[in-house]
Amino acid sequence: MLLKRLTESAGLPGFESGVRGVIMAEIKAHVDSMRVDRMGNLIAVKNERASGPHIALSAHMDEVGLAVKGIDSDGYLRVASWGVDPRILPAKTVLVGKNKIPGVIGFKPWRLTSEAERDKAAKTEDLSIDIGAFTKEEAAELVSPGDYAAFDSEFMEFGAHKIKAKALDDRVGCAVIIGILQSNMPYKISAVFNTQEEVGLRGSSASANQIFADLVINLEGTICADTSGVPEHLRVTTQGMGPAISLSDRTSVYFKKYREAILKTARDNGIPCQFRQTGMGGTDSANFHAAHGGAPVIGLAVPCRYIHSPVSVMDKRDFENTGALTAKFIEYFNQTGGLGRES
Amino acid sequence: MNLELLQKICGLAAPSSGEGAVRDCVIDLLKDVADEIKVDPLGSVIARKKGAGPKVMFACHMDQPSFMINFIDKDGFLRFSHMGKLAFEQIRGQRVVFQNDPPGESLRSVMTGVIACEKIRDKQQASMIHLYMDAGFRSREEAEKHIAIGGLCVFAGETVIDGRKIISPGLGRAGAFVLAETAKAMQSSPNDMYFVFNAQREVDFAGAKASVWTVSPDYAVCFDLAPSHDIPSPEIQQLPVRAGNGAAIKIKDSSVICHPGLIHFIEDTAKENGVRVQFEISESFQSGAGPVHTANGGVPAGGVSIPARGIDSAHPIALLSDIEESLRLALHLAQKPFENLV
Amino acid sequence: MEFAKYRCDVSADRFGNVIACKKGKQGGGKLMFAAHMDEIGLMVSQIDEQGFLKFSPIGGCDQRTLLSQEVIVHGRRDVFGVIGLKPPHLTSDEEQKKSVSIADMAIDIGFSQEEAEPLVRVGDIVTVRRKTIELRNDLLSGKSLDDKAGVAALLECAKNLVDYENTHDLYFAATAQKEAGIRGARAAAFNVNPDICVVVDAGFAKMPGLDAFSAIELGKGPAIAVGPNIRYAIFEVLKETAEKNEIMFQIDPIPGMSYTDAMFIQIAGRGVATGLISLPLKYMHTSVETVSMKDVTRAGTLLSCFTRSLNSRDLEMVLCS
Repeated sequence: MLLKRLTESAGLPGFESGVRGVIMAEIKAHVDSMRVDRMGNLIAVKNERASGPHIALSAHMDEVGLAVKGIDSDGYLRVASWGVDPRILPAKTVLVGKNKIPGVIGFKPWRLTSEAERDKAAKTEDLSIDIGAFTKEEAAELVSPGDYAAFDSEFMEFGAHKIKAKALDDRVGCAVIIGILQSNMPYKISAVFNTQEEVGLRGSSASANQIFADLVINLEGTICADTSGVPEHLRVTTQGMGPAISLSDRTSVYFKKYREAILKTARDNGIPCQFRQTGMGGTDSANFHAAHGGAPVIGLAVPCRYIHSPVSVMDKRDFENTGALTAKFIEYFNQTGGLGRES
Repeated sequence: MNLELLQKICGLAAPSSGEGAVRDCVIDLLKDVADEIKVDPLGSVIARKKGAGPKVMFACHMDQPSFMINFIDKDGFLRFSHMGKLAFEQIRGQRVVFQNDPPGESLRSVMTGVIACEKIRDKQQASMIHLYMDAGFRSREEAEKHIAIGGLCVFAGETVIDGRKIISPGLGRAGAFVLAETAKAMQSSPNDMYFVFNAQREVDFAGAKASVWTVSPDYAVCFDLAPSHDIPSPEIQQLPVRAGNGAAIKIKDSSVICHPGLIHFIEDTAKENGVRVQFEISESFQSGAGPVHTANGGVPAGGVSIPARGIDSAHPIALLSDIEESLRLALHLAQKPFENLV
Repeated sequence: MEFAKYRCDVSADRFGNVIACKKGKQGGGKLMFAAHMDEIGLMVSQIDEQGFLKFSPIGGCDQRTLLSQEVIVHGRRDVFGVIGLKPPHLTSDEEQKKSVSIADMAIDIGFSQEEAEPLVRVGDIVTVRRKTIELRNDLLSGKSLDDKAGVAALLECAKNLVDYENTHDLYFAATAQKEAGIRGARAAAFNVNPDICVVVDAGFAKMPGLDAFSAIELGKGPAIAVGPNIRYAIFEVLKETAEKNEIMFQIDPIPGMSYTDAMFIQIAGRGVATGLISLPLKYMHTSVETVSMKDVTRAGTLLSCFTRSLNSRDLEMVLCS
């Protein structure tokens, strides 16, 4: 399964080549052109010569994880992270570097800690990865500072329609775009697979300057807090209710005209959808929104519980409906000449 | 100074991405004096008065701190996200006015609401997530007849001008007033002048980021408010801006260090024309000059700011004398050749 | 049941301990080797109206090692779940500095309450789901190696002795409910009533934050424990055996309570002369417990050599020496 292959490959910010390779192999036969830019973004165009409106689809390839800062005298790897709540790190397995050296993030035995100590959050600087090396030299043969460590988490289905995996943010977006590119749509579509979203929307700040589209649809995995005891108004999104349409976030406002058009598309086609009910966060949309004179953006996202953790959870139906709505909307957008011929 | 126009521009409601009312007003004011007017994809207004010299962009913004409804509960209470740098204490207890959304006959009337806070036992723990809007509805169904998810609103509050000061939730548009008046009053300019009224300042300056690319200016001067440091808070009194001391020439804020060439040029212009000025050095304040000066490979940028108190609150205050000095300065600047500044 | 391969009679006692016996000659003494087979875990305490499971811990566990774990709920069938963390927009900066308490966690099994109820009941046991992985240097990392590694050492010993004619009766006890309060071992020791018992359990191994003097070391052989929970004579025989047979070993001084099966076996019934072998294990009571397979094998060898060294000897005399 595509999403399994995508989530089980590693792509930390700046090290996306593994994921990019998977995507390139998937889309090669379905696009007219494909290139990797200076930031490592993958940009592909389908039906390059088709006339009519031009939609660009954007998703990011990178995921959160750890970086090896160095190796201590006993052969443990000291780490740093960006975008990972250190509280989720203790007692996890990771795969270090290109050669996927298995390692574990150890933690002090329960009986040797005080209750006061256990009340404090774990800190990244106090944790280390154990690959089983007994000395610094031994570890240095396998790992070097700067190597990344990705969460080791298997893609699996469980519960009612649920999927657990790491990096659903934003391999779900990548998978939706791949699905569109593999379809036989006749319209001109650009696909942008960005690098380094998780460290400050960096890949897209370069790719946005290379994309001249009438509309950008940014596809994401987004916050979902429909979990135990969270009141309805703080859930942001609810699983099973379909793709989440963005309203606004810290860096973009998603225009009403397009929001309403996508809502209409969903209703006309009987596809469930919901709003992303928060103004928090920021996505690659920010760069497309403001690049070269400004462009309208739409944000569509698959609700993901426990985002930025090795055990993100999504509802398969939301993922499928996100793909369906994206496809239907592209069709609608083209048939109305870019919403210009709306009745 | 045309206080009536100041009152009008500041008194309109223009939440980020819903700047239509101000956009219409600006276009109306400038349609007869500008050589070209266009509205860009984000809704910013770009008005050009042609000249032979370098491209000079005067930029301001049209929007104001605002809110977007993102949830309606079963009892008809509204939850929202905010756009702009607004603190919990500034929002709580304020009155808001909704933009007419969705449009419809019954909605043409102004609808107001109040921002209230859930009862929290430990008051210290109360934060943004506990705030909600109460517009007097009793059910979700009732609320949905008047307001949709994605609907926008701004702080409610009369725009008050007395002989000395202006208080207005839309005070940030004093810069737009200065630019509109300048564009109207200026004679021919030696510069190719672009007056840009940006949308979406409060969404990380999205409007300014987009329009600077479109205009691609040689020089930029940004007109905005600046926090006045003369309030009773000893921690910031070491900073220089004082309401009543005239237009503030921006040296730096937390998003930009202005180009020395422009700082001197603006200062010289003020001196030559007897405009009362001071200098702005702000610490935790960002302005449109930030994204503008790093755009397109670098745009030498300066700023003229109007000192204001309570800048990130529902009811900011500025002194009319400072607005007047800023307007005079803008007018002199627009008519002076921006030559060899870099 | 693995023990049956090594000519043992395997049975379960009334407490649930598994006891494998390899009979010796008439008139010999009784030797027992014990390791506990249970592990720390969680228990479902409530199914909430959204279908999430609340839980409480069984055995000592640091709540900080539970977040973002995958679990198996042992319900009517095994049900997969994850323990999630609430998203950052609902977490204040203050909260971020604190660990999440178990009361604020829940297991997400991806079902609604109606769907969950036929599958899961209050009281069901939950374990962390973790594939055991191999690290460098023959290290093994996973959950419940405390004390499955000890059970493996017992099996290793039984394997070594499969063709050996032991004079004493040999008992291998895989004990129950150690983590719930060292409960099974008390019953096992009472039922077997051995003269001598050597317990194999996990010992704290050196790791970042634990220095060499408060811990034993991984890969340096089983650690022979010494202290009040241990009969000194047994310690001495174990140590001599290791030296004579050139089995790498270390010493684990435990001046107070050992919190192992040895602690209660020693005082069970009429009392038992008890020894303790600590298997060096890092990250105890987490799902990434790490042991050296070499140490495990060495511990098994040590036990079989120990058995051989006691053969044909009067156990009472051994204890008097």
